[in-house]
Amino acid sequence: MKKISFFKTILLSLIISVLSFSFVSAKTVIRTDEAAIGEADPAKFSDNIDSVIIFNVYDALVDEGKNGSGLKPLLSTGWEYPDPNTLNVSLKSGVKFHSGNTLDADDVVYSFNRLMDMGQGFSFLFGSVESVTALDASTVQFKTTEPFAPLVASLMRLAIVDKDDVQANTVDGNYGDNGDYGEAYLLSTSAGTGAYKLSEHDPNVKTVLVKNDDYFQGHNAKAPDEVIIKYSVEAATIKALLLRGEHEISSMWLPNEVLAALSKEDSVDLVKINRPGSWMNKLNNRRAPFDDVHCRRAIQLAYDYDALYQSFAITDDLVAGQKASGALIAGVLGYDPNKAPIERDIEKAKAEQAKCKYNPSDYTLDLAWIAEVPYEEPWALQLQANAMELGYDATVTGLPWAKFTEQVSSWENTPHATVVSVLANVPDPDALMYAQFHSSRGGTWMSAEWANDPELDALLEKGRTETNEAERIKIYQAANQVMIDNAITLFITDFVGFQPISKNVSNSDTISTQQQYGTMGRNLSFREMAVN
Amino acid sequence: MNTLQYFLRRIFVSIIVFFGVSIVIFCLARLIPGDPARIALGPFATDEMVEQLRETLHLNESIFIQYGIFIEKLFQGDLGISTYTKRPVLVDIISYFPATFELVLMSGLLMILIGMPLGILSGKFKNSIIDNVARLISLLGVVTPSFLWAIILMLIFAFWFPILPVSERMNEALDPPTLVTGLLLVDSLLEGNFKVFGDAFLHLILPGLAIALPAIGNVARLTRTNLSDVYEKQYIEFAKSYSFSEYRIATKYALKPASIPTVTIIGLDFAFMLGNAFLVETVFVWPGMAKYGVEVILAKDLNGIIATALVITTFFLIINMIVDFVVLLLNPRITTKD
Repeated sequence: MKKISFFKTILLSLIISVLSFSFVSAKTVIRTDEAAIGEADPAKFSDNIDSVIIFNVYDALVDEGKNGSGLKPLLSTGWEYPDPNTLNVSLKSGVKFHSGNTLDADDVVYSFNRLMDMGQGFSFLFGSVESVTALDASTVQFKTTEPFAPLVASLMRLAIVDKDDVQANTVDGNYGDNGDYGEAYLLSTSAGTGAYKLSEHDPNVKTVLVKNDDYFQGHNAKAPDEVIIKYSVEAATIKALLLRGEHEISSMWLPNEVLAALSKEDSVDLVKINRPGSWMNKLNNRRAPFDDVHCRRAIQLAYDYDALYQSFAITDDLVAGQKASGALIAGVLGYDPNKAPIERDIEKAKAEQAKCKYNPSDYTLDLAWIAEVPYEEPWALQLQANAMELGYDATVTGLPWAKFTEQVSSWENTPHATVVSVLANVPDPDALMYAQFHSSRGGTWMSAEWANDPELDALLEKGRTETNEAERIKIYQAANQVMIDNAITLFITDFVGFQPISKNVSNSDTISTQQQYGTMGRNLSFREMAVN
Repeated sequence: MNTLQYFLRRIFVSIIVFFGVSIVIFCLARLIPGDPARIALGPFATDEMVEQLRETLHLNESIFIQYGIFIEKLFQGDLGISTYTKRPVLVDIISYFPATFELVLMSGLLMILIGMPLGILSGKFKNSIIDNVARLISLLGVVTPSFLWAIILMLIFAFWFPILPVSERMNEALDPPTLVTGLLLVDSLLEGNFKVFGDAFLHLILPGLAIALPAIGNVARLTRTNLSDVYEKQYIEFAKSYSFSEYRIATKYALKPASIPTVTIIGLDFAFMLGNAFLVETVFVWPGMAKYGVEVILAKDLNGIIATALVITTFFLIINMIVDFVVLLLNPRITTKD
């Protein structure tokens, strides 16, 4: 008898669950997804989803204004340069951390030292900073070894942590008196001032953020109470969840066929988003035959950009890409939307090839794409076809990322051309161009060109030290032209993404937030979004 | 040799196998291209930081010293830090293993509950319409890989008849039960929380079935073949001549001997599921160890790779011992001497 009643209870529970498994909750939620893993430590974050987490949980001294309106104060009230090597930043008063502690200059100094001592994440942006000191409780001074114009923009990536909270939770570690610098603590806890707090964080499964009701900037009245970020969800699953109303914002990495299918659904909107990024076929400038500028120009002119562009079409009306006009991309200082894209001209290409000191039939080009991103393969195949038009033999290889990053550390092993996408970390051209194209920076995945152009070097160095914005725009536009004229790399496509958004959250607040920020990860500002 | 001695010997051999596998995995993991420290710290980390992590991970030592350190820490219950999740590997395994284990238990249960009856029906009614239908189902099960079943099931139950959940272990709106075993069904029952139990059970159906279907086909086909063979034995004819009931012949004289090879296959399939659940876990957003295992390989997380491989190895060894024990029970003619 007892057994029967036990099974009845289980059966009843199952029936109730079947009827009620759809999401029923008083709290409002936005569920989104990205590729694993999510990094929640402000001294380690570097990728897109890491940035989404950090921008929502932590704040920086400066922020990006909407619609390319430049930088604006966030935790600061403003900044000034007493001399070209010194930047003073004044802090807002009364800003509270999640712990309830009040922000002061010591927190900024601690956050900076933590970032640099740990040497990960965006620490590379601050290589020119000599020291950071607290002049008083509300003023921080940054001293640089030389005038460094991108510093203010770089401060967007200095997330400010709660020094007292982190120090209280520090254990023994690799950083001397600073122990582990709170590494273990910040794996699953937030110590920022941001609009959301970290409630749950499994870097391989999901991150849950809950609203910080005491946030100093406030929230949209309809901002979600909770945000769930899921990692590495299959495209087919995302499609199913979106259509069932169990997912609100998809990542931008869905295959075109899934996007095409979703474009026909009433319950989902596809939102066009211009990303500050581009795809390139990075030419190795130090390896024959591409150490000869004429060979590089020939391949640049031979590349069939139009043929490739067609492959981005999702539907007749939606194309997930935009022909590139160089290194400067939308959202970055100096970008000119009216600049003409680079075009194919096979006759000029053959003429340039004739000037090259190398005979193409003597070379077999090794062309690579990143094996984890099959989406990139057509870029390499297109290059292979066009290189063969010029008389080269060419092989195309999908290189695992780990192998590529190892190979690229010497120019002899770096492929003749590699398809790589690059996103702007901050809305300043220095972070994008110096790291990729200055001759001192060869050997990283970003700088697979091993560029070695004195004219370009001079312009990039000048851009770093020039503090006048109008002058900087001229310098970077000139550098951009040098890159095109000397075919330093093949700029193929500026990145345009389509993000499926459920009708549950598709409204002007959410869409404008998605579309009006340029910096990687900044667009998913949940406090500005609205749940219908 | 008595049964106890036999199992002690099996345990001893299993320990040797465990360490043998650990050496092989330890070496193989280091053959994957790329510097684990550079991959872990990302492209922007300074060379000094990369070198420091290499030191921390003992990557600059010889492989013999590295293995020695690994074994020493293993005995202390320390599997090292995952360079992928940045957490202790033990924390990762404790987080992810129960999810996969519960899924595999569900699949194993479905494999037995569906596969064996299907095989029995097929074998009992050989060459009838029932047999043909059962064989068709088994064949489809065997030839279709789990990940395809996952997509097919999702198509049916997410799009055409959206009646079953298709992602994660339980509804996000529900509060999870207090963690005791990590198995949601068990923990929710311990807490008396039937709502979570029902919800977790429903979440298990589709991924469990996707993993089980190929194994169901396997088990059904094997049961059918063995049962057919047994039914042709003289002692079955003898039982029939004694006018024993069909039920008695089937359960007492036919099924028991026929199920011995099936039990072996069930054991192996059960163990295989643990490592092969990767794609199904990915499709159903299942926070399990199989998915973790593949991701740590891609990230060249040496500690994560070895820990995952050793957990699966241990599982294999335990299942093998259980299978041997069950076979001994089923067939007294097999002795520990054999």
